Amino acid sequence: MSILIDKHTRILCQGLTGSQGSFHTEQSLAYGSKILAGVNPSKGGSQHLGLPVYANVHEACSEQDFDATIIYVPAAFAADAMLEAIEAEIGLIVCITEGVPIHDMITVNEHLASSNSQLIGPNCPGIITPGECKIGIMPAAIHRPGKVGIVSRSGTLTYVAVSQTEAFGQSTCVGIGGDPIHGLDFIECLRLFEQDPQTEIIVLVGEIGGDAEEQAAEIIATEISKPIVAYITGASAPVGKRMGHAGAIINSGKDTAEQKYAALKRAGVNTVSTLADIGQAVAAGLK
Amino acid sequence: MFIHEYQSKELLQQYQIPTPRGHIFHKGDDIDSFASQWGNQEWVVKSQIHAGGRGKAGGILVAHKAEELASHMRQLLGRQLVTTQTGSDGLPVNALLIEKPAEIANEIYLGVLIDRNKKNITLLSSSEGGINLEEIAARDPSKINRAAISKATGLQASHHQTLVQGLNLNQTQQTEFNQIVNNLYRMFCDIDATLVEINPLIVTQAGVLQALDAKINIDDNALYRQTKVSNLRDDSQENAIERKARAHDLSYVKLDGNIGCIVNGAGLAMATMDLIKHFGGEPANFLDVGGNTNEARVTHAFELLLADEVRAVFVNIFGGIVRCDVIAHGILAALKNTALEIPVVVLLQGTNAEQAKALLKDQHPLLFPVKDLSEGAQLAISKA
Repeated sequence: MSILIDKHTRILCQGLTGSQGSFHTEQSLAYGSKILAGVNPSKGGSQHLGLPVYANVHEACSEQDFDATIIYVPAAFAADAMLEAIEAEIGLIVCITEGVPIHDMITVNEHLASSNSQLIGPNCPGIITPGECKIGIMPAAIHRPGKVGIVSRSGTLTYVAVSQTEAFGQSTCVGIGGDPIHGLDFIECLRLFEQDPQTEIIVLVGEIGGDAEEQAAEIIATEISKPIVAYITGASAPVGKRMGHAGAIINSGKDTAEQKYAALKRAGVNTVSTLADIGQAVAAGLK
Repeated sequence: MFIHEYQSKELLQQYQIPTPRGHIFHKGDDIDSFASQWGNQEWVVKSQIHAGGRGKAGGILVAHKAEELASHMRQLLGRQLVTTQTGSDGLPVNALLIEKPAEIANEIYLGVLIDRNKKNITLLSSSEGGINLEEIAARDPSKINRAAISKATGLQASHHQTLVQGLNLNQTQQTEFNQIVNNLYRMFCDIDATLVEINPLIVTQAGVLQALDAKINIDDNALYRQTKVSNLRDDSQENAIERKARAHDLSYVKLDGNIGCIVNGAGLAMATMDLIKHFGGEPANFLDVGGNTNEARVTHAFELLLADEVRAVFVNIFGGIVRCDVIAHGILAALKNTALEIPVVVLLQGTNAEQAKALLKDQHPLLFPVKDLSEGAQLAISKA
């Protein structure tokens, strides 16, 4: 078992023919992901990487069934791509694209709220169930099938968490993305990991800005019985400066690493104060 | 992106939101002729910088006659204004907004922001204008009216009713207020703003509503489609190194310490700063070379930090899609261009890390390879 995706997941790729889309699709196909087709509005009817290319999502869905779609299209067109996927009722939408305007994401979320689709991202590395399915840009080789569920707002920190938990392997790793308005949040992922029999321990990697970690803390105490190890990045960040990620900014003085650690600790989470301690804490949590 | 108060007010005017009468005066314009032309009345002289706290820092002065106006203008223009929000270097005052003093009968707060949690646009109003929203919330949260707007359906009459509550406006003023709310929301969407605050929105003694101060932040991700607004950028309000970094597509924030950091990924870049601090050191910067970086960007990053008088550099790369050997070539190229005089601690993990280590081996006596994060941070601190 795993969460959200497995070896049966049938995947569409929006932006297949671009350089990012091509490179990462090749990698994902080599990993065994069932990417079945791509979309490009001006290249409908052609083939790319041995896959059929459709002019739009609707056309793709009338020809084949898809459980998920991955979006690599440029930021200016990403919202349109997400809306198209929502309208076609694809269950899981993974948007890798960085730099999507926040007003566009408000519109996307309004449509998402009244649909059955789930969104991961944007501005994220995607999702991987090791040994089964990779929908994203993460380096495949560092992952092993196993019992640690990882959910993170940062791409590279997800990889670090993966490499530190190599001994135990991972059930599923989800990068929820670094933008202020995004799809799936910690809460949904924690609930899914709680239900997943393969997952024995959860690693949560948060960062400054917003209060997703505080909200997660509120449900952890009552709903999550599995052990959680949490690391929050940005303890040394100054107030009011955007630290790379559009969402990583301390606005009010209430969205600091300190506040987030405090909330998670109160919920009984094992928090680690440096990145280097994640592996040891997971080992201890599994004993 | 931040813009100046005078630019914010020009935008408000374009959306029919009244502001006080005023003049914008740039450094280099003729002070004496301006003062003699306009100085026979009272003026408020406001320094234009990208930070708040100007009044308390002496950046806003009142002039009653021509000589006083000229002397205030001389005193403020060209000065580095240090406020509680600027950091110790302050920000340069290159423009002044010179406004008619307002005759205030009543001060209101009106703001539009993006609510991250509810994922919507929210309008806020309060009868307690003139102080910041956090303070109003701390004193009496019931004094804040909130209206969440759906992008699909826009502003409704019920939103107006919510926002006007408790503001003590008469019928005419309520109509004016509703119009301002409509226009402000339209502007917020049109210009891809992430925050707009009119604080205070005043009722003058003549009974008219006017935006006395305004703050507008724009979404950086949307600048590609906001050419008019992105032209309002004022480079002088940015640190010189931050400006250079932006030109090279590097995500950089200057900090006060002496250990430079070069990292891939925003999360890991913050984590690296945190680790240095954890072991008692002080990071000099946040620098993300990007998840999909290349040799040239690494070289630029290096040159940027070496120009910033750091005492040591910690390079922390977790190669995923980025290959460590590409990073190593970037470091070697930088060493060719610049005479390295400070120690550089290098941690390379992940894709092609072994090749990268071989490339860097014995290339320079000041390059120090390390095997893990803690070792790297501690070594950088001890060498700094």
